[in-house]
Amino acid sequence: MNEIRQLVWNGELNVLVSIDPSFLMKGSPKEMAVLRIRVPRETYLINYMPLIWNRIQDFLSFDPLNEKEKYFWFEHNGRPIRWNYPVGVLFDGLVASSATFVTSSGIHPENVITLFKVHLVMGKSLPSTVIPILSSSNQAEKFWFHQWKQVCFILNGSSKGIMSLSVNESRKFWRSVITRNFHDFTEISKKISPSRPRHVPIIIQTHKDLGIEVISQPTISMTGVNPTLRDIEQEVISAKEIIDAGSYVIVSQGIEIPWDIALFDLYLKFRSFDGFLYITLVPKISVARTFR
Amino acid sequence: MIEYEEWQRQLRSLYDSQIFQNWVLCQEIRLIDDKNALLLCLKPTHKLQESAKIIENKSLDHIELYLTYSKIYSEPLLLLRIWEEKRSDDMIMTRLMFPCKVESLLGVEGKFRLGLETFISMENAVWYSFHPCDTSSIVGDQKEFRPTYLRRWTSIFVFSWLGYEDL
Repeated sequence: MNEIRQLVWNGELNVLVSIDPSFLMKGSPKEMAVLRIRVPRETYLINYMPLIWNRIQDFLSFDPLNEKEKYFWFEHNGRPIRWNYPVGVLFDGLVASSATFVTSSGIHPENVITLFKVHLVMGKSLPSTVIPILSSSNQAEKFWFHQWKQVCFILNGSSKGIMSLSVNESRKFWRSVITRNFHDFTEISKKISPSRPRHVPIIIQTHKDLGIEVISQPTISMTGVNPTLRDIEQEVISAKEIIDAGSYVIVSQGIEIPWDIALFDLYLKFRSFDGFLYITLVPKISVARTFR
Repeated sequence: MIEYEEWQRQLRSLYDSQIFQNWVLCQEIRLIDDKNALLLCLKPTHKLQESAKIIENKSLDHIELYLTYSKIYSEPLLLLRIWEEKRSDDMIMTRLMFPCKVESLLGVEGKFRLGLETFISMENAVWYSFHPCDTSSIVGDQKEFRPTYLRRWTSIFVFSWLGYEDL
């Protein structure tokens, strides 16, 4: 299992960050407004903000770290994207709904470099579903730790596992994300994960036509059972939305997942760095174009 | 902790008690039946207004509180949004405010921890949440005190930092 975890941990994406011209002084070189970076699937986009600010600091038309009138956020194809989901999860969701990633039939997929294009923008008001990018250096860490508290509670019924980490261990845990230290991350996350969980922390995103997005967080009880995805099909496809499970496939960490896999096995192998298992329901037509 | 059914009962009871309606800060109150939640619109205290001026150089318009239930923690969950007043020419507008040091601005540093989150059950809207993981040890959930759990929680999580004064 560790081998799969390692592969998941090492997963990366090519990200092209374009910066809105409004950030830069007039006459700045156009190439300064574009960054091409290789980003782990298992991190937050805002962990790259210091790199972005550093890259453009000589050309900024204002001081973003002391700016109190404007908000910053990322967009993809004009739609706001939420930095508070792992980068890989954002990508999996956008693949399902965006033509940007569709590979032309005349090109061999192995010769195509897929770019996840994000645009850094600013405005006087913020899209209602986006957490603003603040200037505080520990915004991502605070959010991530809070996610783990929830995960710990869902798995164990209490936050003791994470709250009993020493200050050094907590720091080491976050540092393992930033420095990509798989060994440290595994060592500490194991302290929080029981061998028999009460529930499984799972977040499901479904993308449909016209960019409509449905996110759900079902409560899946694990007391005395280890259901397969097929067993919990109703919870996976969301009771709120009547959709045909047969026309969707399940993707986690960019990989198509069979319906007959046991949920807890899937969780242990494919959970994200914030402790949640993210599942993306992708229309089959998108899968045929992009994931295969 | 408090069971969901008990939360529903105590929330209704809290609403009926008129404690919020009689609160001098309360401008609007709405019981949201289908979500078993309570939305409050409050005018900012003088102290909050001063903090916003000093820390953010901004003027507050109102504070929104949303009392809801966390099914993860089986606890009441307090959400908060801060609205600032923006004046340009003859227009007065309001917009959401996201101070970096929100605990300092609210004067709850060291008492409560807050974080920004999006909430799936609220159309993924962004709110500050008061982290609820220590709630039962703060509020006390021994059997004899359970019938007044939410009233006590309100006293600690809401009135302790906003103050309470009757109309």
